[in-house]
Amino acid sequence: MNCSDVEKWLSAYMDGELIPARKDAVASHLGSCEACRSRLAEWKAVWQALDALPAAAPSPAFRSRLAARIRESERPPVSERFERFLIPVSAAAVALLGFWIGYIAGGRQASSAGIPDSVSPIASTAYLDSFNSVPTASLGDIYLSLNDAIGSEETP
Amino acid sequence: MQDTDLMLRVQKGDEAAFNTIVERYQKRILDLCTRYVGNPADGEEVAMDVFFQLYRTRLDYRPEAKLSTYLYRIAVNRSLNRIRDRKRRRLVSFEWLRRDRPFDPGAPDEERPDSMLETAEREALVRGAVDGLPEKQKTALLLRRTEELSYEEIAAAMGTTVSAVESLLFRARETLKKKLRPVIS
Ligand SMILES: [Zn+2]
Repeated sequence: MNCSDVEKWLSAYMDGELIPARKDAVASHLGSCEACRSRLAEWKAVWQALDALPAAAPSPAFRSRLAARIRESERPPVSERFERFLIPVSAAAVALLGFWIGYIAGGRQASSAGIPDSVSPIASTAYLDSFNSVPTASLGDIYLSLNDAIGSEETP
Repeated sequence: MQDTDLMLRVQKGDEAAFNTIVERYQKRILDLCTRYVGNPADGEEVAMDVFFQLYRTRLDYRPEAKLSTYLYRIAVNRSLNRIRDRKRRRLVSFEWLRRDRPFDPGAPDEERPDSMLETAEREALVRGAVDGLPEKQKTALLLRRTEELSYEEIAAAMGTTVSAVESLLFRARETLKKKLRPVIS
């Protein structure tokens, strides 16, 4: 192994990446060659000089900012969020409208057809049974309260 | 717990496992990115980007790949993107900068002690030398110098061969030796 071979292997030698046989050969050449020793010293100094590049320290907010960014990315886009809100609201509105139209039409039909008054209390009792326990502010609850209001208007 | 197990947990939606990975790697990734892009503020942005990317693509991760290699690969790509973006923006804003901020030679330097000035000059010289290296040489150099990766790990992170890494590092050292002569004396 001559000086130019050694020069070629010096970089990997410094990094401990030479196969054992080659590493030994370089080491024994270095033991006897002043020029290659000084070349190695120079390369080591270059490596050392890279210490001048400052190391970084994560700012205390790094983790929380990362977490916030991930959370933000996982929120559905605005249009999707709006749809999610809009669908149940419009469904409820349609249902309410249906009840209201049903109530008007039903009322009109009952009065024009001249159905005897004794029929309606039975009908409303039957409906009341089927809505026996409904959660507050649910559609059923609203229907029941409407029904009560109608009942109290009609009975006196 | 092993990186791979952690990543499998992250894939199942385990937030704590992701936090452990961030904790384990944030210093290393931040160091690499900061030295790559050359300033702490940009370095931190890029490092955050790396972990964000890891999370977003968590389902793409395959246990056969070493997590650190996967992270280094993202870090190198993101750092390169940041540098390219910056160069593009600098080209656009150069004229504007020249008009609005006249060069003020050494005004703040006068107040600095010599030793600090020397450190700053030294850093600038080293910075310039490293930044002046071709992309691949710089990548190999930083993965070796900052992360102390083996040639095999560097090759995996860069998607190249061990002998290519060997040659990249040899050439990087040769170039640096010439450029850094003033500081190594
Ligand atoms: Zn020699």
